[in-house]
Amino acid sequence: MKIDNIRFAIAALGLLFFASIGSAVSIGEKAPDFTLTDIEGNTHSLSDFAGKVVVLEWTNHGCPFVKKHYGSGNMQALQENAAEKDVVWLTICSSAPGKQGHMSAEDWQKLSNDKGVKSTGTLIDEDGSVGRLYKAKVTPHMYVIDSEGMLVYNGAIDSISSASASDIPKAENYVTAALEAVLAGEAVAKGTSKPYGCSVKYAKGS
Amino acid sequence: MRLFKRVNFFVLLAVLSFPSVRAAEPFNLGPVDTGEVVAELVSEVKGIYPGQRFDVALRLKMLPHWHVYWINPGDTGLAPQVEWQLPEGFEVGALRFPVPHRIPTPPLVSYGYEGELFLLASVKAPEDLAVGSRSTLRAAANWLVCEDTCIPGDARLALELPVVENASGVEPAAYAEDISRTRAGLPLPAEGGVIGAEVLEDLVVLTLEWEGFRGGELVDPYFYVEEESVADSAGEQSFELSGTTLRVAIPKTEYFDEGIEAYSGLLYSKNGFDAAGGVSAVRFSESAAAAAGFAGEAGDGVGVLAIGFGQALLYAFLGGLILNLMPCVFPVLSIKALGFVQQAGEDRGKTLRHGVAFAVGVLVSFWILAGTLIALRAAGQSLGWGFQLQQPEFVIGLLVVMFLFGLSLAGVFEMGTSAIGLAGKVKSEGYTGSFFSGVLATAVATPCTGPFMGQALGFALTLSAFQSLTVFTLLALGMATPYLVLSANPKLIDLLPRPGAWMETFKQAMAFPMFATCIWLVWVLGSHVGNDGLLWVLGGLLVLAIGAWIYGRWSTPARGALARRTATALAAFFCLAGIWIMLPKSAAADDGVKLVWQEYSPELVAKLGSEGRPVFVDFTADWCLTCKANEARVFTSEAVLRRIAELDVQLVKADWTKRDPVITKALESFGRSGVPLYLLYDGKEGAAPRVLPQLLNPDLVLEELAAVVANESLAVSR
Repeated sequence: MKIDNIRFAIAALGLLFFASIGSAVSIGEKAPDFTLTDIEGNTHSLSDFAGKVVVLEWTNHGCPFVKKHYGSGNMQALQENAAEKDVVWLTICSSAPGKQGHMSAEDWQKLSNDKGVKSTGTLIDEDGSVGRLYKAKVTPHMYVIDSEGMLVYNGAIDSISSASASDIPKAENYVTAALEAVLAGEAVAKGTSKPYGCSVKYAKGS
Repeated sequence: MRLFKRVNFFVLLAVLSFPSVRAAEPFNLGPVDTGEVVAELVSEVKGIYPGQRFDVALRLKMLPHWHVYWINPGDTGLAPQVEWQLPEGFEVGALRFPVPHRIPTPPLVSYGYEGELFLLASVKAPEDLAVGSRSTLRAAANWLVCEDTCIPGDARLALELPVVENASGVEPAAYAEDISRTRAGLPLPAEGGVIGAEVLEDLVVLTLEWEGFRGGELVDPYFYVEEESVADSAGEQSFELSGTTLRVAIPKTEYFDEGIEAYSGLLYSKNGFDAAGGVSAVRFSESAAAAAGFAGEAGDGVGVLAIGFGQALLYAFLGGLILNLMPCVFPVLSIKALGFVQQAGEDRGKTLRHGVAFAVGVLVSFWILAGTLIALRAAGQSLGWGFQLQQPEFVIGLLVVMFLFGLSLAGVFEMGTSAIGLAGKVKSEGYTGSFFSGVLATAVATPCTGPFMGQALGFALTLSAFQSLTVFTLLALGMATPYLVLSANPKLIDLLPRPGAWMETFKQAMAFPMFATCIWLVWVLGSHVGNDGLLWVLGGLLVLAIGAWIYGRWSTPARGALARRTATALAAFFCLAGIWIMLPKSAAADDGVKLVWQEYSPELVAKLGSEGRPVFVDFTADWCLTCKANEARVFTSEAVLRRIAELDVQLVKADWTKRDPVITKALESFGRSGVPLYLLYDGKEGAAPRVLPQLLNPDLVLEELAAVVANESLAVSR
């Protein structure tokens, strides 16, 4: 009985340890820096945008959940609204070559034009390193970083997890809520939510 | 202009009617192939008869490597959904999901199914169905199916069933075998199991208590949490099984939702659970336990094992009320009665404030008790209600207070002018006095796990800290209510007799219940310290009495200052010496095993329980007055003794006087945290015992014995 307790405690402590070193991003802590190349060939680092509020959006245009938000124009409206408020919006694609959502720079440019994507830049993360750094699980998976570089939101785009665009008006948009709070200098009420969507199509084995 | 308006009108009409156009999309009899998934609505029977209950299923056949999701999809995904459109009078239950699998897409893990899936739903046909007609069940199903990529799918499915006259006309349908196989593999509720959760930094630690764990082992266990935003589905879980307690450490997801209070989920083990017919997963849930309590149709007519939170609160309140009538609170009642008499003449607002002070005293003590219980429980000790009386030091402390109080009431010395600790405060005027009389009332009342309270506390121990505090709060409120009511309605107080000379007589008479309580406490101590230890305890009381006498005789204002001071010092010395003498010297004690009673062990009960003779198990403790009263009532009745001999009832005693972890476990498995608990087994292998009420009388026991025997002969005649 006693031995069991001790063993369990050790196991639990071990898990705690791994859990704590495993979570690289947490709310209220510094969002880790990264550098990626966008579809125009320019490199961007998170640190380039120091002093500005930044939104990170993981995407994959083959994913029905991404289609839900781009097909309805919801995502573009959010991006446009953010741009008006001088918020940096980085769209990141971590699909590995050969996997759904992975595209050449030309195809990306065409798609961005066709869909009217309004983000500051679309960054290609084909080895998935930045996605893994941020533990991006799904597309769309959203993050909001405040002007101090602290992560203030990590989770779903809105409150209704479905692939149906008709749910968008009924849902509460968490990114909008987080941005409004941050821009007003207030604390973000809902800092995390379980993100919904398709799994990020990471390269195998890395 | 007019034309334009008309066009507009038609556009509007088209837009408005769009949803209904969609709704009119045909429902398909037979399979619908959407590419990755073939969906079909199937039944286990070809035809149905009026009033029939049967299972239908949404059958999803996926291409290799494609999967759909469980209720909680894990890292990604969505569970399939079905919207039913049933003919008039048909009823349908919720979708029943089979045990899911973990589907890894590194670094993510989802919960779901590959291959062919049958999601069952139970349907009940109406009684007035016309024989010869056909009933069509319709379902609009949608799902998300993923391989590497994800595709949402939906289908409008229909199933047509002819109505036949009776059961003999019903034939199994094409998928009958798959449906019955799926049904047999569905997770079963862990009967009588309880689930508790604790959040530790980045872990959620679940504590599962279930009799079904006993003697088994888990192979490749995994716990599927049903609530989303709890577990990191990609995280490794850690398991520790000891006896009937399983602890599972589950890494939290980054999106952990603090708001979830009740957890539920499936415990999977590769080797299956013998206690649940060999299924590979059993379901633990707080709401299921509550539901079982309310349903009460499973023949457990006596004693509800599992109760809901609301019910527990009600029981806690009633239990608190009843505590006022328990023998061990009686002496305190007398203190309270004295208090009423004293206050009756004073102004009413003050009386009410005294009432509130008393209630606060009760509340605070219950909170302290609850806090201690929670803390000790967290420390992993197996503890139950009444644990204070299992600590000799606590009993001695109580004994000293009671004894001094008795002496004071008897007139040996006067308390009140100066306060000696708790006892002095109790008698002292003012709100502190009322507060501490509330504290004292609680301290004395706690061991009386009366009817109602046992269940409420058993339940409280399985809850979160906040919920157990709520239960304890209601217990306290229940106990304080009569006093509050009296102090708020001065009219009732006016009914109490006027103060007068009779009060002194009354006060002296009240000394006797105090001494009676002392006798009981001494007897409780006897089982801890043994015969020789008792000698020390009684000797200590004598020295204490001398100290009290010195104080009463010479430490009064009538004496000079020096005499007073000397007397007080001497009195204090004697009191301390008395207490020191009483404290336990060694843990010398022997178990007096009764002749007719066999000593409890789970193995013994299991063995006796399958020998065909009734078995009566008595969970008791020497300090439990309810238990002793029950035993005195029942086992002195000639009728009961005769019946026990006739039926050759095996008597087993589980003595909880000293903390015994095995018995604590057994109590917990019946939702109790204290004694008494009475179980009656009918002697058939594997049969669940009848749980008898906490207040026994001979007639009731005779009835229960008769019921057990009746069951037996019924079983034989089958």
